[in-house]
Amino acid sequence: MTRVDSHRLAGLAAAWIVAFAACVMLGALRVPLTDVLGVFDVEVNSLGRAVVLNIRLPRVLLATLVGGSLAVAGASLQSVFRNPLADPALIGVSSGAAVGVVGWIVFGSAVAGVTGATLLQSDWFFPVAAFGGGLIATQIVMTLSRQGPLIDVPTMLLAGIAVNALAGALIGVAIFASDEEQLRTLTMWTLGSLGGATWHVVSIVFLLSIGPLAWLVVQARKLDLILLGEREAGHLGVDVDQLNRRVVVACALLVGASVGFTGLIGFVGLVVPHLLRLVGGPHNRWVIPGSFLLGALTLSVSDLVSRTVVAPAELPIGVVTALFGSPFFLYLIRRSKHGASL
Amino acid sequence: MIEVRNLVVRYGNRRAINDLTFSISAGECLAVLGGNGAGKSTLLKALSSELPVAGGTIQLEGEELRSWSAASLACRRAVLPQESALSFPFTVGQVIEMGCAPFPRRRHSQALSRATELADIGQFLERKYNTLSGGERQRVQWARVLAQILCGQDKRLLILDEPTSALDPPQASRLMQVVRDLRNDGVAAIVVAHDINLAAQFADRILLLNTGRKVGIGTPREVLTTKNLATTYGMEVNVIDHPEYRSPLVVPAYK
Repeated sequence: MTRVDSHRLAGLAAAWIVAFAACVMLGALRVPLTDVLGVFDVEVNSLGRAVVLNIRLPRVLLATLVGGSLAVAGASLQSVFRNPLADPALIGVSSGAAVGVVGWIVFGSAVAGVTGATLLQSDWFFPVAAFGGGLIATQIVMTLSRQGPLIDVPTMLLAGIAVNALAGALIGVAIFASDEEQLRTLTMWTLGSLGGATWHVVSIVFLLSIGPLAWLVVQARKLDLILLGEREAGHLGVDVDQLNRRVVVACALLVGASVGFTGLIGFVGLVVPHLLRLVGGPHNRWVIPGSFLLGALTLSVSDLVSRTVVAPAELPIGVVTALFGSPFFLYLIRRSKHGASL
Repeated sequence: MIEVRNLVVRYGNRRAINDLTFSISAGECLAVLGGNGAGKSTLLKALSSELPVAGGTIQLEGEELRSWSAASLACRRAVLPQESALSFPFTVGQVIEMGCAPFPRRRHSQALSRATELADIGQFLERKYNTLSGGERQRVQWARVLAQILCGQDKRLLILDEPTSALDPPQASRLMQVVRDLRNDGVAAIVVAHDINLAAQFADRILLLNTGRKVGIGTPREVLTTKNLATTYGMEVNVIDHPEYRSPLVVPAYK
C-alpha cells in the first residue's frame, strides 16, 4: 500500500465516522450530539438515550457490517472473475442465499413445527439458510465451469445466469406455497430492510463476517495477481484454484450473513468498488479495505435516507440503493461505450 | 537444468507432443522452431505446468516438475505467454511490479529498475496498460517477466512464447540480445520463435519440431539444413552464410 492509499483510506474512515454520527443523531426523533455521547452513561434516562442505544446504534452498526461485507464481496468476486461487472448477484450467490431464506420462511415452519412469527425470532437460521443456499448455488456454478485445473470465466457467467433463473423459479414455487402471513414476510424481506437490527443480530453478523473480511483484506496482493490473468498468477506462485474456491466460500459467507437478515440489497457490491477504482486505481490493497469503508458509508447513508424521507414510514433500503445504483450503473455502461475502461 | 525424457502431451485425443527427449543446461538459450501445429506452444505449456504430462518425464534440477510447489517454482521459472488480457486499468509500473510478487520486498527496486531499462519502457511507466498498443503491451509483459527473473538468485529458467510477435525488428533484436546476455546470470531460456533467422542469430541451440516429433536438435548450423527445413515447413529454402554474423541465414527459394 502506498502513502497515498493510506491517506485516502484515512479520509474514507473519517467520512464514515461523520456519517455514523449523523445516522445516530438523525431520524424521526432528532437526538443532540451531547445525548449521543452520553449514551453509555447509566445515570441518564431519556427517550433519546433509549432510541440511540436500542434502535439506532445496532441499526447503523448493522448497516456498516452489511454494506462493508457486500462491497468487499463484490470487489473480491470481481477479481476472481477478472470482470469489473461481477457482483454477488451475478454468479448466483445472492439468489442462492435468497432461495435458502425464502425456503426457510415458507417451509421451515413445517420442518420445525413452529409458526412463522416464532421463526423470525430464531436469528441464527436466517444467515445459515442464506449461506447454505449461496454456497450450493455457487458450488453448482463452479463445478460446471471448471475446465481442467482452471475455471472458465465465460462458462461461469453463463452458469450464473442459469442458476439465477432456477433460483427465481424456486422462489416462485415457495411464494405459491406460502400463506398470507408468510407472503408478507417474504415481500418485506425481498425488498430489504435494516429494521430488524438488534444487538443480538449485530453480534451474529459480526461473528460471521469478521473472519472472511479480515482474510480477504490479507489476500489483496494475490487477488491483484489474479487480475493479471490466472496463468500469470499461477506462474507468480499463486495456487489459483485454491484461492478461487476460498474466495467464493468467503463471499458466500459474507453475503449469507448479510442477506439473511436484511434481504436483497443490490448495487452496493457493484458500484462501491467501481467508484474506488475510478478514484485510486484498481489495486486491491486499496480497493478491498476501501470497499469496506465506502460500502459501510453508502449503506448507512442509504438507510438514513430510507427512514427519514417518508418518516415515520420507511422506504425499503433495497429500493433506495437501486434508485441511486442503477442510474450510476447505466452511466458506467455509457462511459465504457465511449472508450473509457470500466 | 531441465531434462525432458520421452515426453508425450495430449491435446484432446491427439498426441501433440510425441516421444520428445532433450535437455537444457544453465545459461543456455534454446529456440524452438516448427510450422503451425508442430507442437511448439504445447511443449511450452507442458514445461510451464499448464498442460499435464501424458507420458515420459520433465525434471527441473533433477526433481520431477510436478513435485515443485507453485511458490518455489515462481522463484525459479518465469513464463511469458503469447498474449495477456488485462481488463482493469493498472499502470505499467504496477504491472511490472507484480513480477516481483514471489520475492521479499528488499529485492524489488533493483530488479524493477533493471527490468525497466532492459525492456526500454521507462518512458511509459505511468501510462495505463490498456491504453497501450499491442507491441507496447508485449514489452510491458516482457519487463514484468524480466523483473521476476532478475529478483531471483538461483539458477533460473525463462520460458518465452513468441516474445517478438508484435515487436518491430529493432525491438525484437533488442529482446533477443537481452535473453542472450542473461546467460551470464545463469539464466537458461527456451524461446518459441517464428523468425528463423532471429533464432539462428541469437540461440545457442535450436529444436526443430514437426507434428509433435523432433526433427533435429543442435547448433543452428547443424539443424537449419535445407533437408530439415523442407521436412518441417514443406518448402524449398536456401541456407547461406549471414554476411555479418557467423550464423546461417535461411532464404526461401522462389522458383
